[in-house]
Amino acid sequence: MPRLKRKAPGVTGPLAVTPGGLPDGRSPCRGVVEVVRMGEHEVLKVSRPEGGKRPRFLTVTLSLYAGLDRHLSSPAGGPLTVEVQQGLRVADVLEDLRVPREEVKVVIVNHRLTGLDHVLAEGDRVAVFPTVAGG
Amino acid sequence: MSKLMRVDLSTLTVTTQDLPAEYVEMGGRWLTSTIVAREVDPTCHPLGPNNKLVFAPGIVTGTAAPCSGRISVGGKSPLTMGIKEANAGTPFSQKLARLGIRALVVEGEVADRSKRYVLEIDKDGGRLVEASDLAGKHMGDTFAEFGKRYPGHAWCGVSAAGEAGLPLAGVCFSDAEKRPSRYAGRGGLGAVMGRKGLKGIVVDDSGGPGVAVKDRDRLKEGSRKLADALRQHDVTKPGGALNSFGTAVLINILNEAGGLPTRNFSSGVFEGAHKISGEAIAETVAKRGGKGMVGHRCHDGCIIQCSNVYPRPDGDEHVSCVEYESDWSLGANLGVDDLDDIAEMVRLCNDYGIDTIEAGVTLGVAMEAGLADFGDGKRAITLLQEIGRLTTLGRILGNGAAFTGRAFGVTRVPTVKGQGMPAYEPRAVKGIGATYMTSPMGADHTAGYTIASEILGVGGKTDPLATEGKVELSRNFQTTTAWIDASGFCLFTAFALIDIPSGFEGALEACNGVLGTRWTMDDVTRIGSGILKTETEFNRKAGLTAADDRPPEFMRLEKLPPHGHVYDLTDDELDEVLNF
Repeated sequence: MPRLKRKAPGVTGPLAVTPGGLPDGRSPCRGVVEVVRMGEHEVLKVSRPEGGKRPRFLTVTLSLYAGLDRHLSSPAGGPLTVEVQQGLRVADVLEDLRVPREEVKVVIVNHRLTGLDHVLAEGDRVAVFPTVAGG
Repeated sequence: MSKLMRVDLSTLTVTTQDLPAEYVEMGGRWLTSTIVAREVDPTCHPLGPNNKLVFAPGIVTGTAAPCSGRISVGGKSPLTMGIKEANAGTPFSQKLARLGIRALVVEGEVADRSKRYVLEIDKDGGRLVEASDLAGKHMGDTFAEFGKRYPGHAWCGVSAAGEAGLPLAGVCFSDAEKRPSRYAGRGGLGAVMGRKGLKGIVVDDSGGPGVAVKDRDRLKEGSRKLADALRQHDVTKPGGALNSFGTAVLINILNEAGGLPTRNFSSGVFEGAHKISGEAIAETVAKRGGKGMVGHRCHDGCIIQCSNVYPRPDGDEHVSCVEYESDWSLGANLGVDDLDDIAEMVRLCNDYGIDTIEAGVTLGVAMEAGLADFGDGKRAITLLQEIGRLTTLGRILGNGAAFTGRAFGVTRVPTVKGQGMPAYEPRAVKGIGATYMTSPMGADHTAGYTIASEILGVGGKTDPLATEGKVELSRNFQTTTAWIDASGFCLFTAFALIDIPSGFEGALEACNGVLGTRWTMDDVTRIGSGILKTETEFNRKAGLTAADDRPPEFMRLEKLPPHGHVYDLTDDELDEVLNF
């Protein structure tokens, strides 16, 4: 799959994703990450093809804060719109985007603190943080 | 032998004595609150001759212990009318400590109100020098003048707002590069200093005796353990969250949690949060280059280095620093999402010598009253300039959020004991509310930072929206914090202290090394609760009651978006928080 770099309305910065996880030597993820067109926007699509029935997808927004977006090939600079195969958890999507689990400290979905095991639902606003603090 | 210095502005005399025996184990907030409780009539007018202003470095301040350049300033607050301790990180404190001065008590007031004095302190003692030519000067001009007269010293001072007795005024200390930027900001202690006629204090530690240390090996070993913990913890380590993004790294997480007070505490979510976040600040610094930087330190010996220098578009320095509280109070709280406008407001606050939190909360109330539209940063800047010019409107605003609310008939006034709430919505984060309501300081997040476990997952995890367990959580944080404020360690060491046991051992050992004590964790609780009891007792004598330990009524009535919660810890629960 090609490296893809593009800027699309609704995403505030350039985004480049290397699907499949192979070129830079890191271990391949279990899922497939693609960039697809949705209306006038291009969005990420995360799926885990297992054959058989055609999977359903739902749309969520995902923000990787405080430097976690560096794990994308280039930083997103804003929330990502992500098409996610139904049934996947926050942890699955992060794994497929190759955000290391050990760097994730706080997961907030729809303004509620939750965890990596949250099963994503249509319209979820997902925010992921490393350890942060201040005052 | 450690010293206590007394400065009497009524008689223009300075005396130095050995530190009384009952004070030898005390430092920082422990010492300021103890002296204020013993020597200040709780019913006195805070701007009158019977109030005192006490400066005290922490126990380990001035040694090589990491992140320990803190100074506490105490007195009776003209904002809360109760006891106040505000602290800052500054080389001033290190120099004072290295002269062996553990407490500096400023009393009386000048007989001739037109006169101003500067207190010079060096190895030979202290002396008051007339500096009436500095009357009415803002902090930038004041420190520029100190730079000419006292180039080798560290400084503190007050602005025209302090001289005018405005409760927004803080005591401003020099940072590592001598900017007027490190504030003991809260509670109007700058007004206490200004009304005494004391324009500034300058300290030169050349030839000083250094900090008296009982057991150097123990201090060294404790410092090493603490430094290791700070370098290991994800929050405090070099390249960690605070170092890379500054304290404003909190903007996004509080916003996502629905706890970022927005437009005068009318919502917990700000749509422009990402534009003013720590990430955005770091990106702006990287893009503009020049003099901007993250990872800036307020004093030498800091490992964390959470400060920043915010650049103008051409790379020239705009201000140091845009930190979380100021970024929020002058940003989200006003509906302002332009970092350059926020930076300009921080610069003005620093120059006018006023507390950025109280300034922002006050402007939020002013916007509620219709003096400006939410989101209008340019108009907010002109309102701040009214304070700088000491106009009638400026003096109303300069009296703080509660006063401004009364002046304009506003009921949504987010204060406790007359002090504006900081950057965490109590209706969305219940434990920090318990701290705001019950701290003897008035609404103060640093007094018991339950955010650590309620939002950040540091030191355990608790549900921010739940009320269960929050009485104990706030009490425990307030108790430990009081000890940290006595130690001289920056409060931000707490993240490493509560997660890494050897870090806390190190902090204790460093204190034991200086003092020759054998403190354990039990002593942390004993000392911390003792400080809180002293402070609460002062407040009771000053006339504050349990009715002052309550949320503003609107927080009981108005459901806050997005969670739809009111503040629902009961009065009985709040009364239990500091019921030791």
